[in-house]
Amino acid sequence: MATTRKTTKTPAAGSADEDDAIESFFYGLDGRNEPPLGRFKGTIRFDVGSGTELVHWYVAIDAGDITVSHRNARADSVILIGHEDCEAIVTGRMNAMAAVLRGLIVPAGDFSLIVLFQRVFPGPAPAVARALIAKS
Amino acid sequence: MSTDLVQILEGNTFVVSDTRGDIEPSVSDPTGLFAFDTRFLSSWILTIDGKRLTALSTDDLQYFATRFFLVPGSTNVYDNAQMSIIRERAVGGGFQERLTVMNHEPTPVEITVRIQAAADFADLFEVKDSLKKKGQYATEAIEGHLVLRYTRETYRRETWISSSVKPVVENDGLRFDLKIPAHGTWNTDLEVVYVIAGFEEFGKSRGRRRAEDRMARGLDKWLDKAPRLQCDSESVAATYHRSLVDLAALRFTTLTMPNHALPAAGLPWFMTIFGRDSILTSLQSLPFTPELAKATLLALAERQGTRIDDFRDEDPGRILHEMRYGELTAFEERPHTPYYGNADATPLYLVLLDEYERWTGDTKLVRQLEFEARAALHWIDEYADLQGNGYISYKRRNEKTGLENQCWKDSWDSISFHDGRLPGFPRATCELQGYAYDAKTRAARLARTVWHDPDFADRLEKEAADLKRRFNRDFWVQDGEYFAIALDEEGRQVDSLTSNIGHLLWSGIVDKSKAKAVVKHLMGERLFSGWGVRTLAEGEGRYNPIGYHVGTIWPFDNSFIAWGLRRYGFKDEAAVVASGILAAAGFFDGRLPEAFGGYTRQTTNYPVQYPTACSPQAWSTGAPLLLLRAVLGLEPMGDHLVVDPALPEELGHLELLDIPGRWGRIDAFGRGRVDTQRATATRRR
Repeated sequence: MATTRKTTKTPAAGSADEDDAIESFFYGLDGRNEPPLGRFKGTIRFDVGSGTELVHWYVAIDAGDITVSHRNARADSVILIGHEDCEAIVTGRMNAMAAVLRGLIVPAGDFSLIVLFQRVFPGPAPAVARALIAKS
Repeated sequence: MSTDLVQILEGNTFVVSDTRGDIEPSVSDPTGLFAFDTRFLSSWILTIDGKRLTALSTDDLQYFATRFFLVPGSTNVYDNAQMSIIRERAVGGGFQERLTVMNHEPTPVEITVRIQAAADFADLFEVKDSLKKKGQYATEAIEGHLVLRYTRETYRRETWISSSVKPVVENDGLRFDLKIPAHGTWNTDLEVVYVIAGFEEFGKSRGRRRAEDRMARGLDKWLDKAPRLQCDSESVAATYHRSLVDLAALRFTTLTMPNHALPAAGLPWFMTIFGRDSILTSLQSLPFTPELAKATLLALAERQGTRIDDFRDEDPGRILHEMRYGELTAFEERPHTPYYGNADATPLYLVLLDEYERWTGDTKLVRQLEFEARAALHWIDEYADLQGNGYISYKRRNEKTGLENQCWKDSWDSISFHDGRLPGFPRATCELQGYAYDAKTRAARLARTVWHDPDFADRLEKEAADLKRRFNRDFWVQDGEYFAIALDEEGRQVDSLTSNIGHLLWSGIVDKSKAKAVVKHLMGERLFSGWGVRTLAEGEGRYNPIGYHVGTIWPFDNSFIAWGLRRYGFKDEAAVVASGILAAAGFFDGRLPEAFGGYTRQTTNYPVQYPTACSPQAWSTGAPLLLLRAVLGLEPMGDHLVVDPALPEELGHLELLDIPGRWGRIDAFGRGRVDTQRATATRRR
């Protein structure tokens, strides 16, 4: 559904290796326009990891235009999430709203942004959905 | 639900207790303190010296507050109670309870007051289905609070109980050892707060905001803002008042929009966003409380589908069916984050968007929601046409916890052939095609006037015209002269006669030449009971006057049928339907149930209530409002409101004053002139 308007990748340095699913997801978002977020403006900081091993991703949304970076900036909403859980969400193996309700995502600040933003995460692959249906 | 339970609520938080104010664990009844689909208190029992109390009276002060007057022991007219107890309870971020004990003796008394408290933290789905819990319970005393806790992995829910007078905190409650002087009074303020892990800060601010909201959104203000009804019929006036009060109680705010309230579907099981219910209730109440429609449009837009998810039956552009926050949903044992399995909310969303603009002139919102509207139209063409035949049909992809019937008649046997057989899937029910036609026609208007895209408008109008032509050919049951309820998986007509044909009139998809025959069926003896139009006609294989969707009468269904009759110019018939349903409302003290029995009016003389789970139910609450609109013939026309009354005779004189809209405020007057007895008799010939 998202129409892509690809620009160059943000060159900011990450911590993990290049084929990290989390990096692919966030870098893939950078420069995109996401119409479902068209009515919103704000910055979400994702703190991915645990303890002092946190990687900060700043996702700025302005009328659907998304900019992603590691640069320190003011955030309207902060999302604390473990590396594995984040990976599960950005690859569609876990539903973000379910993760919020389970306490796997700890939000601070403007909570509404994460509810709105979760629509940008991918859905489950058919095999994942089948497994969920089977255990439900 | 037992009728002697007392319920108070605010948003998605509600308390259900007995008439003493006590909560006792129950597997069948939803008693307790509930918030976010979780039972945060399943036991709350007040004793004095170890004995339960007896209720003298219960006052429903407001929908969010109540007061219980109690005495110790059993009441006996020969004994004067030497003590009175008052519990005043209000909901908000949990609940607050002021407990007052009055000693009427001329001497001091020493007593022990105890509140026994426990929480099972059941998910509403578990209360309904009696399922076992998978996590661990704990109880703790923290700084004078009794804390009840439930933990399953990182999922944690807590209930914090405290008192303004310092209690003895015990493992299962609070204790007060008191000495009350002669003719003295003692009181304390108890507070019960729910905590959702990860949202501690959020919960506190929400509690504060709720208290402020309550001031701002007070019932008086709500009633003041709505149009005033003056009417010779006391029963109709009372029903109107009841509807407004119940609508106020059903208002619900979402996490993302704390300042906009939309209608939840019903109390107590359905205090959450339902696409279909919130949209239809907003349509019914548009002439009276248009702010509900705006909140509904925004909240559903924020959660519109964006991806393919077979577990949640989600597609891009699809409008959600139901949102839940409980434990089963959190662990993805239920698909409700949200669940999308309905086939009607998406076209109905477009209908509401257009109708909202026609009433309010709020083109700004229509511009803001252009993307969502286009995505919804895209869904109709790309994702809903499962058979590639140009019709919306449905078949769940989640075959375990998804919904089989994704239309408003969602029970298992609601869609059947004349001989009672059930069709296979996908099923293309007729009203879905009507909604799609209406959605495209209305979206074309918005495309032309607001989005300034005449090419898109032309395309939508052409598609709508084509759909109408095909529909009148493919769904028309020639020998019976009515529309089939559905086409089955082979495209065959599912040929039972149902109330769905009334929705088709509302949508405008019926060829003018066929309308008379459709109306004859709606008002004929097989469908019309004297109170209203049955969901399924007498004489059909599965007809049962007390079958959920196979013979009962649904007030909401009838309100849209009445609107449909008006759309095709059948004013007297609309008055007959309105008359029956409004008369029925009188028997239910103005609060229409979800459904009542399809027995003929002459047989029972009163409407027999279907044993329903929810009361009030949002779209039943909205039904009298839409019926009033229909009989007054209220129709926005440009910047004006057309008033063309055709009132049932027994209503006498009726005035609806200060109807809000793009025209400012307008009054509508009418005098009953439709002889509903005669109109019915004429139709039946």
